[in-house]
Amino acid sequence: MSYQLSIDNAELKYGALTAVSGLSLDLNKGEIACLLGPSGCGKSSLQRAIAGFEPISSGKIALAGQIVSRPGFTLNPERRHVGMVFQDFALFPHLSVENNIGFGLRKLSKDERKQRISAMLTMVGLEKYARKFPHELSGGQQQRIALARAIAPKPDILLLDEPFSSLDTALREALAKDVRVLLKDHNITAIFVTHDQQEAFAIADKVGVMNSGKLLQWDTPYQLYHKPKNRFVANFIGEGHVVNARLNDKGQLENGLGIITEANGWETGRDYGVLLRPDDLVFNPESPLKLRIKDKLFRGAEYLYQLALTDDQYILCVTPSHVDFAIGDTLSVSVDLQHVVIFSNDDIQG
Amino acid sequence: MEITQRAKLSLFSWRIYNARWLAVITVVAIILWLPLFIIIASLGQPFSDNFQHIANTVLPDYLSNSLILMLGVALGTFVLGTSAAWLTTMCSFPGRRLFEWALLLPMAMPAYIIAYTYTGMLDFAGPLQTFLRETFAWRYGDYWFPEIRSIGGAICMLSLVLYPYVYLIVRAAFLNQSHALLEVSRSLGNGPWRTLFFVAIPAARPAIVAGMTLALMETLADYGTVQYFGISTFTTGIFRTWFGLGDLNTAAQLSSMLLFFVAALIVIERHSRSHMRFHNTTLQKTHLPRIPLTGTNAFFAVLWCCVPLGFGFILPATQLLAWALETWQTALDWSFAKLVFNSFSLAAIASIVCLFLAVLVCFAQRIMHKSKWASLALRAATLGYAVPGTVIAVGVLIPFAAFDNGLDRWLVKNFSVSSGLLLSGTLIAAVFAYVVRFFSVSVQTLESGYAKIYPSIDHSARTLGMRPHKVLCKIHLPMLKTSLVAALLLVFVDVLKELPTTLILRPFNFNTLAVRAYELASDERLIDASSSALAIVLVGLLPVLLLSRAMNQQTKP
Repeated sequence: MSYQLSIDNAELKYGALTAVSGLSLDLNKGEIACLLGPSGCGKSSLQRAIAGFEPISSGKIALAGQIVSRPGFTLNPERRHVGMVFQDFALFPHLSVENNIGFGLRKLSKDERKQRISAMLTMVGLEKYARKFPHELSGGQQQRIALARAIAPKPDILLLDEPFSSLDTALREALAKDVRVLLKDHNITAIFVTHDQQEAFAIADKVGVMNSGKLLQWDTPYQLYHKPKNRFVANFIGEGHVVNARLNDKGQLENGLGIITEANGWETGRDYGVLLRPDDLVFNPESPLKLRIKDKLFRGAEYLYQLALTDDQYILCVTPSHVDFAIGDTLSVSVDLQHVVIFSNDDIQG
Repeated sequence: MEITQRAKLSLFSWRIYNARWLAVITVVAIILWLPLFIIIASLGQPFSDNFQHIANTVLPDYLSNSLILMLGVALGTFVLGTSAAWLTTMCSFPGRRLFEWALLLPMAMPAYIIAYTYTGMLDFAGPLQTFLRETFAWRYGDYWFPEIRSIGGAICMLSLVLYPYVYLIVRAAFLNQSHALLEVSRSLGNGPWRTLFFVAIPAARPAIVAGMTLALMETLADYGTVQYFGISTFTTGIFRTWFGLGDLNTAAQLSSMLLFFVAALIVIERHSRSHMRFHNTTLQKTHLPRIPLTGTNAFFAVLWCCVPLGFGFILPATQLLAWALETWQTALDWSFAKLVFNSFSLAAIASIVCLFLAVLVCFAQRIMHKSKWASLALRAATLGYAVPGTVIAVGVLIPFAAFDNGLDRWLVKNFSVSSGLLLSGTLIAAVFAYVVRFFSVSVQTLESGYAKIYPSIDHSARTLGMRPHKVLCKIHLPMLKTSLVAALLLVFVDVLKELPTTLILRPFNFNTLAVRAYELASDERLIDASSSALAIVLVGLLPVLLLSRAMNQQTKP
C-alpha cells in the first residue's frame, strides 16, 4: 500500500544553510502527526517543503502516491492539494466567512459550493457566522474558520503551523481536543508543527522530534517519553535528567545513588548516561538512601526537588505536596525504575 | 513515472517562474537607472571649454552657495521641526491637537510659490512697505528693509516649507520612544528641559538626521526659489548651461557633481534610518503623560507653533487668496482651464505609470523576498527620490535626443524622410523623468501596505489553488486598496508641483500650472501668477490631509 505522505531522505537548503537534512518519514491516510522541536530546528521548513513553498536539494517527497518534490522539480503549491492552517490564521480580511471558506472551491458548481460551505460551517459549529467578516470574530472562531477553509477543498494532507499558539491556554487545550476529534471523524491526514509537547501528545498519533534539521525520533508519544532513542530526545521530552553512571564488573550501573540497575551487553569500566525521570525516585522515609536537597520548586499539587549526588551530579524527584523539607536538608528516597534508558557517552549531542 | 508525466509542468515550476519575476525587477531597475547612469558616465567625457570657463568663474559660487543653503536649511528645519514635534507630543497646551496636524500644512506650499508670494508681499511696492511708508511718511531710501531676495531669504523660505519632514519623523520617534526612558531621566532628577536636551533629543537623533537629510535633498533639488532670488547654485547652473550655452554634456558633468552631494545625503540617511531601529527599543505604546503648560508657558508654546504655521502657510496662502480674488475675472479663462487640464492629465499619466510599475515590482519583490539581488535592484530603482529634477531631466534628455537624432539620420539616409523629435520633445520624456523621480513614492506607499499583509495570506491562497498572479488580483489588490489610492495621489501631487523637470522636458508651448506660475513670476507679474499658484497649493493639501489621517491612526493605541 502507498503512504499518504512519504518523505525520502529529503534535504532543504537556504543558500549555505542546511535547514533539513537526510529526513525520511511516512504517514498513513488518516494519521495525525506532529513535528516537535526547538525553534530553528527545521520543522517549519519541512512543512513548507511539503506544501511546495521551498524546493528540496536532494531526496524526494510524495503525496498520495505522486512525487511532488525532487531536486530540480517542485510542483507548485496550488497544484498539490494540501491544506494549510497558520499561526495567525491568515483569513482574507476583505472576504466574508463564507467566501473565505469557498475560496478554494472555485472548481465546484455553485450549488456544490454552497453545500460544501454550509457543511464546513456546521462542522466547526459556526453556521450563524457565514456573512460575518474575519475581524468580527473572536480568536477561537477565526481559528475554526481557518481550519474549515483549509479542509473545504478536501486536501490530501492538512498542514498546521503552530495553529493554537496565538490563543490563550484554556482555549488552546479545548480546541486541540476538538480538532483531533474532527480530523479523526473525517479521516484527514494532518501534520502539526508545534513547540508545545503537551499539545503534541494530546493531538498526534505519531510525533517527530527534530533538532538542527534532523529527525531524531519518529514514534508514538508513549514511546518518545519512555523509550527516547538519544540524549536530546530524552532531555527535550518531559522532565528528567541524564546522569552519568559507571558499569562495574558485575554488570551493574553504579554511581552516587548506589547500584541503579543491571545492564547487560555494555562494556564494563566505562561511564554511561542513564535517564532518570522525576517519578523514578520515590519519597520513602524508611529508605537508607538520603540525598541533600539542592533546590526545590513548589508546584501546587507536588514538590519538585533537585537532589545532589555525591559526585557533583543532581537528579530530580517529585513528591506529594505535603512532603516539605528545607533546602540543605536531606530527603530519603528509593529508586523505582520500571525500565531503564541507557546512552553511551559517545552520543553526547544526540 | 509520475515525474515524466509531469515533466511539462516544470515549465511553470518554481525556478523559471521566479526567474521571470526577477527579470521584471531587473528590467525596471535598469530602465529607471538609465538617466543616472548617463549623468555619471558623462564624467568620462572630455571636459569642454565651457566647463573650463564655468570651473574658473562660477563653480566656486555654486559650491559655496549650495553649502550655505544646506547649512542654513539644516539648522532651520532642525529648530522648527524638532521643537514643534516636542511641543505637540510631550506637552499639553490649548490648541495642541489642532497644531498637531496643522503644522504639516506648509508641506502643501512648494518653495518657489512661497518665494514668489513673499517677494510680492515684501518688496518696495508690496503691502508691508507701502503700509510702513504711509504710516511713518517715509520715502524711498529713508529706511532699511531686509532684502528677501537673498541667500538668507532663500534659507527662510526653504526652512518654512521643509521643516515638516523633520517634524513628521521626529514626532513619530518621540511617540515611539520608551516612556520609561523619559521617566527614568525625570526620576534621576532632570527637569523636563534637561530631559529634552539630554535624553529625548539624543535618543531621537537618528530620526532628526533622517528628516534633515530629506529636507536637504529637497533643498539641493530646488530650482524655482534660488533662480528667482538670483542665487547661483548647481541647479541654476545646470539650467543655464543647457538653455544658455546649449551644452548638454557640460550640464551633465555639473549634474554629476551635484550627485556627489546627493550620494552623501543618501548614505547619511540610510545610516541613520538603520540606527532608528535600535533606538526604538520599546514595543509598548502607552500614552505619554504630557507636561501640562499653563499661563505664560502655554502662551509661548502657542506662539512658537504659530510661527512656522503662520509664516509657512497661513500668511502666504491668505495673500495668494487675496490676489486670486482680485484677479480671478481675468485669470479664469479658457487658457487657465487648459493649464489645469494639461497639469492634471500629465500628473495622472505619470502617477498611473508609476503605480503600474510599482505594483509589478513590489509583487515581484514579494515573490522573490529571499533574493538579495531583487532587493538591491529595487533599492537602486527607487534612488530617484533623492536626485534633483534638473539632473534627471538632463539624464533623460541625453539618451532621448541621441535616439531621436540617430533615428532621424537613419530615416533620412535610407528613406529620405525625417522623423523629427519622437521622444525628446514629447510628453514621453517628461513622464519618464517623473517616473524616475517619483517611483520611490509609490513603491514606499505600496511596501508599507504590503507589510501589513502577512506571507501566510499568500501561502493560504496558494494552497487553496491560486496561481501567484491570481493571488495578486484576488487578494493583494483588494487588500491594498487604500495604499493604491494613496500612491496614486502622492505621485499626482508631486508631479503637479514639480517645476524644473517640466521646464526642461515639456514639449514646445505645452504649459502647466507650475510653469505658468514660474513664467509670470519671472516677468514680475506676481499677482497674475496667484491663481495658478493657489491651484497648486490647494491640490497640495490633499496629501497633507492623508498624512494627518495616518497620524491620527498612529496616535490611537
